[in-house]
Order: sequence, then C-alpha cells, then structure tokens
Amino acid sequence: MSITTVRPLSFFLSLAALLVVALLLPHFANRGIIFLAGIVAINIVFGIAFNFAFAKAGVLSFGHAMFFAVGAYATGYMTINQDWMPFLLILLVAVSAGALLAIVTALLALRRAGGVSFAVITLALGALIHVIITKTTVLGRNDGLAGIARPPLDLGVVSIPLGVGDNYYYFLIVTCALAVLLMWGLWSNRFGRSLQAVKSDPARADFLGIDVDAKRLQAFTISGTMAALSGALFAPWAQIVSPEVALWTQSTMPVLFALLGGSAFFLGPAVGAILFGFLDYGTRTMVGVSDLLVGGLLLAVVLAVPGGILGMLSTLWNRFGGRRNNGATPVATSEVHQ
Amino acid sequence: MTLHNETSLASRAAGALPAHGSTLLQARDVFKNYGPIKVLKNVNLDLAQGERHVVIGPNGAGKSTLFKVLSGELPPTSGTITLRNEDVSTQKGYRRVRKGVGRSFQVARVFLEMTALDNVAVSIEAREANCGRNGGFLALSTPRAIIDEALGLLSDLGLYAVKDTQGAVLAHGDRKRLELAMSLALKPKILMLDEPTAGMSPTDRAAAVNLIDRIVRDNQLSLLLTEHDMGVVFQLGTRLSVLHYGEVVVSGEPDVVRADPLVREIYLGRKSGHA
Repeated sequence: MSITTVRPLSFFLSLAALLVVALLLPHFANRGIIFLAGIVAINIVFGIAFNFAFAKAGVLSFGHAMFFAVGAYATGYMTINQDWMPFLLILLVAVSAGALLAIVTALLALRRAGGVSFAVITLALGALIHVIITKTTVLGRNDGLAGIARPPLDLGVVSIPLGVGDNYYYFLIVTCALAVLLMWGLWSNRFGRSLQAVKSDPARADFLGIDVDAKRLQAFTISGTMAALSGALFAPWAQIVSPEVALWTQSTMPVLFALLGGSAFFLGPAVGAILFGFLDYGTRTMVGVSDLLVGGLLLAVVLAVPGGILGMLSTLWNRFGGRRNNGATPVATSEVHQ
Repeated sequence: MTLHNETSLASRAAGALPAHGSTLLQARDVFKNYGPIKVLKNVNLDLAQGERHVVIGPNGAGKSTLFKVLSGELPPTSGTITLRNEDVSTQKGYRRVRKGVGRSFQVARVFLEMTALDNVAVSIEAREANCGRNGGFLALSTPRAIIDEALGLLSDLGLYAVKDTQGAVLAHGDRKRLELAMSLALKPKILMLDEPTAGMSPTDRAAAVNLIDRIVRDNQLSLLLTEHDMGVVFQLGTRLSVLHYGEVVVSGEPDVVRADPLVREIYLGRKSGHA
C-alpha cells in the first residue's frame, strides 16, 4: 500500500462511528459505563500519542506516564489553587509543561542513546518524576490531589459549566476526537512520511537531507505533548490524581494498547484501548483474579497475533479476496490506517 | 619500503591536483583513526566540476572510510573537508546533502517497507523540504507533481515496472538503481557512489555503467566513486586516485595511473612485470 496516496474515508468513518457511539452513550448507559467510556477516550489519546513516537519515528519510551502525570498534576493543581485561570489556559499550561518535559528528555537522552537504551532512560526519568511527586507537599505527596473541580469552559461569548450533568464528558470526547484528528494528520502527511523514513533507515534518511535527530525530537515532543493532554483531561474527569498515574505500570498501558490493537496502524492503540476497556469492565467483579485474567489474555493475544488485532485483520483481508500486496512481507509495517 | 616513501607519495598524489577554482569537493590533510588504528593518513583529494573521480585500492585500503568522511557519515580525526569552498568538516551528512551531495551505499539502502514509487516520492519531498518549499504540508497525499516526477525518474532508470513493489523484495540490481533514483531525486551537483556495481553479474554491471555514464552526462554531475572492477573504473573515470594503506599514493588521469609502476606493484606485487 502506498504511503504517498492517503485515502481518508475509512479513517473518518471509523472516527465518526466512535464519536457517535460515545456521544449517544449518556442516553442509555449508566454512570459507571459513562465514566469508563471517558477513561477509554483518554486512553485512546494516550495510546496513539505513545505510538506516534514508537511506530512512526522508531522512538521507544517506557516512561510515558511522566507526561500523563505532569498533565494531570498540573491541571489538578491549577484547578484547585489557581481558580481564577480559565480552563482552556489551564489545559494549555498543562500541555505545555508536558511538551517542555518531552523536549528536555529528548535533548538529554535522545541524541546520546537510541532504541532500548533510550527506553530505559525514559523509564528512569519516569521513576524520578514519580519520586518527586511523592515528595512534593503541594502535590499532596503520597495522597495526591483530591477534589479537583470541573471548571466552566469560558469561550468568550458563552460559558459552559463543565461540572453540570454530562457536559465534561462531551467536552472530553470532542477534545479527544480533535486530538486524534490532529495526530492522524501529522501521521499521514509529509511530516509523517519523513518520520517513517527516519524509522525505516536513519542513514538513508540522513542522506536525503533529513535531520534525523531533529525529526526524532519533534516526534517525541508531539508524543509527550499529547500524552500530557490525555493526563490533563483525566484530572477533572476522575476528580482525583494520585502518584500511581506516574508509576511505571501506567507507562506500560499505552504499550499494551499499541501491541494489542496493532502498532503499525494509526488506530491500533485505539482498538487496543477499547478492548482493554471491555476487559477491564468484564472482569471488574473478579476480585483477585481480574489482573491475572487481563494479563493472561493480553499475553495470549500478543503472542498469538504479533501484529495486533488490526494486523491480523489486515492479513486476513489480504489473504482472502482483499487487495494484493506486491511484496512478500506484510504491508502492515508501513501502512497508514486509512 | 618504496610504497611508504612519504616524500615521493606526497609529490605523486598532490602533483596532479586540479586548479583550486574549479574544485567542488576537497579533502586536505585528512586523517581518520578508529581508536589506535590509523585508517586514513594525510589524504588530499579534489573533485572538480564535471569530473569523474574514481578512488581505487585493494581491500582494506580505506576507500569506504574515505567515502564516509567525505560524505559526512563520519567526522575526520583531523584535516579539512570543503564543499564549494565552505568548510564542512564537522557537518553531518544531511547538511552536506542540502549543499548538493547525493550518495549511495555499498549495500544499497532503500526504505524496505515502502514501494519503489514511495521511496522516490519521499526523496523528492525531502528535497522540497530541504529547499524550504513547505507548500503542501497540510495536504495528506503527496502532490501530483511530485508523483509525476518520481514516475519520470523510475521510468528513466528502468524501474517503472516495479514502481509498486516494496523495496524489500526488489532484485539486487533494481535496488541499486532505486537508490540511484533516490539520490538523483535530490538534484545533486555531486554524486558519490560507493561500489555501485558490487555484487552484479557482468551483464548487469555493463548496464549499470552505461546508466551511470548517461545519468552523469545528462545531469551534468560531478562523480566521485569507489570501485573494485577495473573495467568499470577505466570506463567511467576521468581521474583516478589510488588509496593504499590509507594514503593516496597516486592521483591523475587514467592512462597515467595505469602506467604507474607503483600502482602495478600494489595490485600485482613487486615482482610482476605487467598490470
């Protein structure tokens, strides 16, 4: 499949279908399911953000929880202590903090180490951020921040009270959809193709005049920024932020979403996050065995279907009457989900 | 030993350097060490406008290292590399590419999971971005003009039939030509080819030489290449430099180099009477 010809129809249909289901959900679902849907939407952005750096630019991070945590804590802190700030400004500051942390991380580590070495450095930095949070009094130390309000959304001509009814849920869904749309544009356009060149063969990309270090930094910064956005949206949704959001286990989540859904596909992490949401919901009453069950299922899927769910569907589609791949290798490694 | 008489080597190598004004790429007093191992020793080399300069030498002479240093893949330990009179010694490859250098690798490097067409189209997009032409950034698909240009290049290099084939499954010769197409997509002034016919059958080699010859002529390129095959060397080169144990021992026109007793000695041994 060509990466220079983008056919956006299937992407837009998928996004529209998800959006319609999510927006209609409050009309027939209970509070628990609506809350879970919000978490899934946040996880979709988190997963796609991680996968943007990993699958598109070849930058693997085991510490993406630090960006999520920075976004969540910054939003929580400002919402509680700086209530004069408009909510959009709070989000902007929180997301900027994530971007700054990503830039600093990339400048410190990305030029010195690549591959797994870089991933381990991000893991260490993530652990450092977790420790800093648990030692910082204004961030609630081990207790975190509780009682985070959902402030009104002031758009100048109109002010929407996000704390009323399902307003914050709708805001959350629309913002996540816009974030996904933005990342899809960057994934699919010329910038995305240059990132793919960097991932595919850095030496060849270098001798096409592409600044490989700069592209990796840009990809990682975009990824960290979007992960911070997912954290920023999470804080008012959960109304509590605890240090667990900065723990390494939180960093494994987007990796799992990507592997489960298919990291070679833009919407792979979204599929993974949705499936994970179903698993989480289906095993919520199985106290003590739910983690084991979820972990076992994930392990089975990852081992049995290395390309993830979408990878498997793509293979089946190519094998049974779908489009033919001229190459002997699966197209999934480069395919833009369209 | 005769080969390492430094005074005579320096005078042989430097005596045939072209006039400075026409020089596009220049190496002066270049050394390259890998730890304690001195791979390049006081290399001086010039590539003039329109010249076809071939660097030859036995295995382990340092040709590939010289190529890497000249292209920016590796920095020199000491010495100066200038590109159109600008010191680029510390500049990475991508910055030299933006100044008009295109290069191939000994083992062809293309984007394996992309189709041949995508490989060339992405190269053209990179060139446009390098030139600061960012029009179309918001467009998702590659503009039609770029696709047409890529198809034209593929046709020119006899790759149109495999335009939709992934780089990973292209035949060796096709992959070499695709890499050449990617380099040409950058519209370089200097084309650097590292053993462009390595691993090819005699038939493919002859075709590749003719292709390179035509492309260099049609695009008015300056060519710098390393090569093992003497047939290719004398067919393509207008100037040869012989590298031996990291030193340029002879540099000059092909007939002069061919007749040089030192070159015969390097390739055939001291006792041999003819090359």
